[in-house]
Amino acid sequence: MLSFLIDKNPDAKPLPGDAAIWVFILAELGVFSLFFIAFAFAKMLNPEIFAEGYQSLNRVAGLINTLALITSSYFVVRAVLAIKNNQSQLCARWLNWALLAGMVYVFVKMWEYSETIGAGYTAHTNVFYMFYFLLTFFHFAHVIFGMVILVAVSRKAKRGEYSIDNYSGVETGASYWHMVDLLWIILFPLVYVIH
Amino acid sequence: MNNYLEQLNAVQRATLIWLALMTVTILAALMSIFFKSGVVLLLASVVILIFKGQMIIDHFMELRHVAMHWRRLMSAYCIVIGGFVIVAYLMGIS
Repeated sequence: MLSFLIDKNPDAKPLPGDAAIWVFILAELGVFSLFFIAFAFAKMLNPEIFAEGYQSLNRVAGLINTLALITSSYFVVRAVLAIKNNQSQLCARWLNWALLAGMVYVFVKMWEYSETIGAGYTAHTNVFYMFYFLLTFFHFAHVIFGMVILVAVSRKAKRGEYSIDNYSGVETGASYWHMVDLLWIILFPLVYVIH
Repeated sequence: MNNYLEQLNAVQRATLIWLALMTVTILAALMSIFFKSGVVLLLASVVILIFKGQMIIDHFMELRHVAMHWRRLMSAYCIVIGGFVIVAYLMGIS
């Protein structure tokens, strides 16, 4: 059944990182796709509620968070390139920069939530806010989990446990973090741009 | 564009992709201010979504040289979600 996942091209490179993370990534993408599609169709059925909800959103926070996650993903790419050059300490430093950009996301998201909740909007207010909190908080939880992974990978890199011959762990963490970025790339226009 | 990118070293390529992603993100945010709403904003947003997704899949996730099935599967994800968003929007205004 999964034969479509086996490439016949002998020159094809293997998937970066542990193969198991890619099964996990596909499962995560599948779950999020249901939320994305449900959001789009709920918007179709409740255009006035969604238009009103959109106006109340802190769209600057949405933009800052998108830039923070893209930048964080870039730092993770640099970490992978560093370990491919056998520079374990440099890899750890790039991962720490990625974590710092991740922290920007966390603080901005908490600021956004405190503003929204402070204005009296909760997940129980209406269907827009139910989806807004469900989607963004579910993604927020994935960012936190991704940061825990990056901390673990960074500490191992700092201890010199990765090298040019052994960097699958770095690629595994990187793949998960890029998935978190990819999901936000979809969430951003869906929630903060299209109206 | 891919041929040009392949000529760069890995750091140059990643930096260029990062700058492109930052630029189109700001562009999308500006569009949401200048376009009140409508099909143009919708289509431009979905095109940018697919472009950014493909850049991340190819150059950050490094799937451009792995088995094509994986790359296609991931690319299809962004296209299908974008398609659903367009269909839902058009059904809403029709």
